[in-house]
Amino acid sequence: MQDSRQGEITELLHRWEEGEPGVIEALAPLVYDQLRGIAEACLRGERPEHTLQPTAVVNEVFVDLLRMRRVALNDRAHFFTFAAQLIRRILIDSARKTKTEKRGVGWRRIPLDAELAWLDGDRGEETLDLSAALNDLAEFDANKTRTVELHYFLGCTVDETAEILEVSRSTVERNLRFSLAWLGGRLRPA
Amino acid sequence: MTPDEQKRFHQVEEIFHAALETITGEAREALIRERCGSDKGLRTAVDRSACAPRFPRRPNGCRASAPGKP
Repeated sequence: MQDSRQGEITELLHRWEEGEPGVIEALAPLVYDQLRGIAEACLRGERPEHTLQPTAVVNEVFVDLLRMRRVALNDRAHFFTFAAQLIRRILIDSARKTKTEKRGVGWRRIPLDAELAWLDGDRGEETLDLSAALNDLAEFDANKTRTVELHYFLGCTVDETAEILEVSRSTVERNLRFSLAWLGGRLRPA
Repeated sequence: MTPDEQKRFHQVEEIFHAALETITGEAREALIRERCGSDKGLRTAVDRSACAPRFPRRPNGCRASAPGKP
């Protein structure tokens, strides 16, 4: 992403924090493509019959942002990690809906990466469990949860994750290694 | 989250990464045993993380390469 665009996004986020109306509408075209890419990555590998489409997921993100109105998001990195959380919540809501309906099409799971394949399953409950485990992980170390969200849920590479979180590549790798193991220990039956 | 829980989390993480650096399964076990000492709760927590399903390992039982895409 070009530096000028990054700066523009950051400026818009500051104006949004100050409560200026219409900022989200101005922000949308600057971040839409990246958010759509994230949503596509989230949907990759899911059943072809699933009902949510990337565009719908992104639209829901913007609806949520409009509802929130004033949120302190310091910069582009903060925005995308926040968007990651919103997308995760949207997918969880979808999983809950599937669980409620008991049958029909829907989500098998959230993770996009084969490294989380051990979480595979046909039940939406596993999505909810993973979300709870990620929240637990954030209680200990919020950066680790952000790292997992960006890499495994949003499809960012290790380098992209490092750039967004402003940490080194090796820190991302270490955090991913440990987080994956910790989540596995948390989710696996005792 | 209590300070003890936070401390335990970081202990587990530290031992986890140290264990990844070991060459053999025996060395890894020895390291974990030494670091955990008589703290059974810590040992259990370490074992749970180290035994996560799909946790890639070398043939000798140690962790393989870094996760994720380049």
